[in-house]
Amino acid sequence: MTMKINRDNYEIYFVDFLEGELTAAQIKDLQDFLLLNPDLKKELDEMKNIFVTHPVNDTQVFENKETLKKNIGDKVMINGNNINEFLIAYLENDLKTEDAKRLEHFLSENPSYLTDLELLKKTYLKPDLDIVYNEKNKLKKKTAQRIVLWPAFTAVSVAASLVLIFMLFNRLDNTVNQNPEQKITHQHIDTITEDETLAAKEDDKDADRLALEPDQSLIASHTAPRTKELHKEDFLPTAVKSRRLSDIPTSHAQSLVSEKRNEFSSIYHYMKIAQQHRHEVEDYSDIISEKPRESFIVYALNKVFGTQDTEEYTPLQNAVDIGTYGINSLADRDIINVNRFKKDDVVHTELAFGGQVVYSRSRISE
Amino acid sequence: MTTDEYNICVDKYADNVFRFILKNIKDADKAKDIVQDSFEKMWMRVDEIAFEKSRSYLFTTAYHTMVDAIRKDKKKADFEESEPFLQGTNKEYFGLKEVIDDALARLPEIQKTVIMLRDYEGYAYDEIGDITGLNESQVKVYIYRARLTMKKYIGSLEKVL
Repeated sequence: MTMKINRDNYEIYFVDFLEGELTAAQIKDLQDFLLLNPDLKKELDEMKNIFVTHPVNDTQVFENKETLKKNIGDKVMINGNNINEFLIAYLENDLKTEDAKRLEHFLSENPSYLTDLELLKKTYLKPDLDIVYNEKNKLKKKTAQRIVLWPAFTAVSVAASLVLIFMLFNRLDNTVNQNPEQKITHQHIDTITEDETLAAKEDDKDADRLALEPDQSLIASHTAPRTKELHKEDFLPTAVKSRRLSDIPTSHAQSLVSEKRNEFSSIYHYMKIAQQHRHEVEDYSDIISEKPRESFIVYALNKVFGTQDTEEYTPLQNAVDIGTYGINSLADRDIINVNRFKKDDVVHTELAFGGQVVYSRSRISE
Repeated sequence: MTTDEYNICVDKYADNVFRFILKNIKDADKAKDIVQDSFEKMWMRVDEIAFEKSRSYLFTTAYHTMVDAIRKDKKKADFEESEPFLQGTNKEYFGLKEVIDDALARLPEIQKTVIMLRDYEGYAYDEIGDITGLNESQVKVYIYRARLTMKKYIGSLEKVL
């Protein structure tokens, strides 16, 4: 401490003094300071009470310290106070051989503690083999000829699901404020309808009416000036009512995307494996094409998401390239479905993802 | 791990995981859900998990899923902090197994968990630590406390059996 004691820093001096940290010169300074500031002398006396255990003032000592000291190799004595710890350690095989022998010797001399040992032995549980999980078959996965590709392609199917959800989710924001007319002008042959088929299915009558009659609101909107030439197919009646993608419930998709975002890198890895192994398993040669197919799925997703030239589209295309049959059979559940039906010479084709129709198109039957 | 190995895991460990969870939460439906969820999680990562690590993965996943379920049931406070419930009981016992089951049920959840992993599955302290997120010393302390508590309980009832 180099500063001179004054009324601003005296407490530091007091503490150091009480802890025996002051030099002789500093103690002299402190004494001089107290003579000049007698009111602080009382404060110092009060602080001394806090330091009552200071070694300097402590006259009480434990006289048997030597008896507590240990030499290398000394062992903890076994007695009634620590017998349980020793017994548990013995049963748990935590004791060294030497300590175990000491305990056994102790027990032979103090047989009353054998009761404790027996009681502790009873605390060891035995599994209740009557409790079984009787639905193991539901947990098992099919193998057969899918051994090589099953994990990878299941991952691919999951990947396809996740990529689709991810892209759908991302696309939603972009389409919220998009003018429906602009979307329609992008179509040439097909009528793209981000639809509410599920909602329409809830009311079959409405669905039938919509299927049989042109959507007047849609036609009306098409009479406005357009930036691109329209084709007559743009005016085809549809089985579903026109609707923005943003109206499709996305809470589940959001949740999935949020949970699985970190797994995307491994998903792409699985896709790569799937692509590499496509020639190795004959069973899948019919559903995995050499080149990306211009399937309805790819086409539909391109139309819905408009991602043909984006980086995201490539893995998506690779994933769906194994086809709906491939994805669904590998996953053992319906992830993607394509439904076709005909009404009044109009063929409707829908793409459903996870049970939700995300795209439909209509063509005049040839 | 291959699909065959995965299916072997189902045969070998589904009962054990189910037993472990059921003894902890006493709800067969929830225990089944947790088993199913744990195996599904393992299946999702089947090519990353080595067969020899599958048992540990399953127990770890099941344990954490169970803890989450308990938290959801707002039992978390009891899970780590509850003290053994040792006051007398008027229950009639018909055998030692029943007494031991009761003693186990009265342990704080964390002690129950570590002692079951130790006795049912034969896990070492460090393996239990990996599963529960405790360090080895904590595991050892919990096991010692659990045995001592059970011993006292069994001892107090053995006189009346």
